[in-house]
Amino acid sequence: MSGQEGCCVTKRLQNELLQLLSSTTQSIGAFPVDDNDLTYWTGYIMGPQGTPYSDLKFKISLNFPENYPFHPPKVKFVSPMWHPNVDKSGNICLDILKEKWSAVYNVETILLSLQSLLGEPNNRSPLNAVAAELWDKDMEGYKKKVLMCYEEIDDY
Amino acid sequence: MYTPIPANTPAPTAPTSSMTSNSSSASNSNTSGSNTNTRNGRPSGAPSNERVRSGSGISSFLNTFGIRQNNQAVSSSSAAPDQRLFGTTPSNSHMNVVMESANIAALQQEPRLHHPIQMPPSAQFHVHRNYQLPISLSLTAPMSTDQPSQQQSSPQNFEVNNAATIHETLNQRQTNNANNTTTSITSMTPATITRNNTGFMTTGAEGSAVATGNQEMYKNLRHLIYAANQPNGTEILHLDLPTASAEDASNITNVDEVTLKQRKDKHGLFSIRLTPFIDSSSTTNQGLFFEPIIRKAGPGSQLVIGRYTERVRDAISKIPEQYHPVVFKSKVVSRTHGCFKVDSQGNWFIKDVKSSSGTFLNHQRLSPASSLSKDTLLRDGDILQLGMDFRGGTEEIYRCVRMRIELNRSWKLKANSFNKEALHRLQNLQKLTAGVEEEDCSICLCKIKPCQAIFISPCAHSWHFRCVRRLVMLSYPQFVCPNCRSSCDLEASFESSDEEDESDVESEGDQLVDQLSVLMETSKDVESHP
Repeated sequence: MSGQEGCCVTKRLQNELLQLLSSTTQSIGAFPVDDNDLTYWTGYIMGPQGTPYSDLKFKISLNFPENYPFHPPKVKFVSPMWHPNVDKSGNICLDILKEKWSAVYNVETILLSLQSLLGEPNNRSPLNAVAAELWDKDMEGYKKKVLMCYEEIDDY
Repeated sequence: MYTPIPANTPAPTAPTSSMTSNSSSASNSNTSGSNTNTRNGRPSGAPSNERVRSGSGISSFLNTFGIRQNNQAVSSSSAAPDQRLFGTTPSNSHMNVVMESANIAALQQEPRLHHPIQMPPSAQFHVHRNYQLPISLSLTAPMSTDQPSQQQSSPQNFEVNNAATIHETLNQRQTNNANNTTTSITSMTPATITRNNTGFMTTGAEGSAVATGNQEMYKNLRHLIYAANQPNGTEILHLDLPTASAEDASNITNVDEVTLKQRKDKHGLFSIRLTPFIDSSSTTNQGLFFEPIIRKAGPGSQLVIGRYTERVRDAISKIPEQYHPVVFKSKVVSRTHGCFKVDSQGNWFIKDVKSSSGTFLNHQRLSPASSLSKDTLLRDGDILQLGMDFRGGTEEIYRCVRMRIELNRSWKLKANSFNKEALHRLQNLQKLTAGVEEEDCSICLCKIKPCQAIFISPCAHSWHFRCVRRLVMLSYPQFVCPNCRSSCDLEASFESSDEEDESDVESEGDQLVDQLSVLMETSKDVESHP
């Protein structure tokens, strides 16, 4: 990473951290894992109300590349997650984290997008086909499966 | 948990400590031949298990904004500060930090708590950006004491400020007793610590201060940054001026208060700005490229010019950039190549400190190779060159450094009414087109302020040019706005494609032609009637 590039990433992430710390939103949050490395964060999202995920808390990892914000961070679910757009490894299929990424997106917008994805999955391009099918046909069965997979996190 | 610092809380400083030269332990270590002094039943060399608040990374960044971490990950051993930074202890001495606290055991048993995410919305950020001056550091190893003195230094109280300076305080004893914190310096070859006329502590064999006139001092040239209120700024510089011309003499003499005020920034510091000098007429390479350098200093300060090394990086890591030495990643620049000096009138001087490849001011070499130059007065716009290209300067690391010097320009960076009005108009434009008044650049999340280079897209969104440049170049001439995703052609001609507009342009053109023909006819009439 060139000095100038690294400096830009650090400054941007510092601003994002301050923005998140001063935010009043209780349902999302993130913080750098290591004091001396701002490029690796861990975050959480609360499941939105009125969805199978309501009142559940999920842990997320965010890995920022050296050319952030011009390239998206690598975002994964650390907590086990049963969702049509999340695979067993925690990889997420979300357009804004791939081809629709824009430099104006930030950690807060990513977490909010993931939160809305929990309530509105994109079943046309699922990573977990079984979950997609279950979402469309049997919501009660889906809820049970979500709770079976869920592991409570106590890190935050 | 993060708690906001109340507005009336003083700026957080490093814990003050009483630094004493422990003569008995020093003599013991010398006689026994071992250097493990014991204190409180523990070898001083052994790592202590006390919890020490980490001062680096996110913690210090958050402290800047008044957010304190009450529970934090702590390093297992407290590392002693780099003594080269101070130059006040011999190179083979040991600094042992011993913390005696009643609740250490309780602290050790306390489990590590994870960082909570939220902060109360009522939290008020209280910014602490004041850095304690003066700063004194050496870019090279401290001078060795060849003949160590046998006399022991008497215990004195010192205060450590930001791991950059050591200076005496009289009222420190009470604070130390209250904090119950002791720092002992034990030295294998103790040297008396004395105070020179700059207010810094210096060490030397036989306890004598280093003679200022002695050229040996330039082997360990110190980078000294004083605060704005430093008295006798010109005297402590010990300027060695050349036989000055009348013009130079008039420049160095006292300036009026208005000029002096203009030369200073809002903190009362003088400034120097160095930008790469690009000579368009030159056929050879353009020298080493570097980002513009701005340094600030109070009267009497001496800024070292040198080569960037690992040692320099370590020494300057905890100092704000505006107080850093001027260092370049070029092999043709000596480790301590020269120095800038500033007097109490804001006059800046350059001195070549025995550099091997030379220092050139406006293409004139200041002194022969490996010899000391006089202090030469700098003027705004001067061209300074450090070293000469080596191996034709084909590799960047062997290029000389050419720079343009701008002096005391801080006051010019203030936004005038035109700058403010221009930004205000831009914000109004955004309000009209997008319906939103954006104050921040959405890429770096920093405010857009007057006097900054801004890129405005056809959709009226704006960013710092530095931030958006990469996106502009990515698919040039096409540009997709990162805010609203509207696409535009940056090379599109300025002629309007709208038919109505075109007809308007044509009619305006016709009118101009008509007016011109009328004017020509009248001029003919004037010529025909003498």
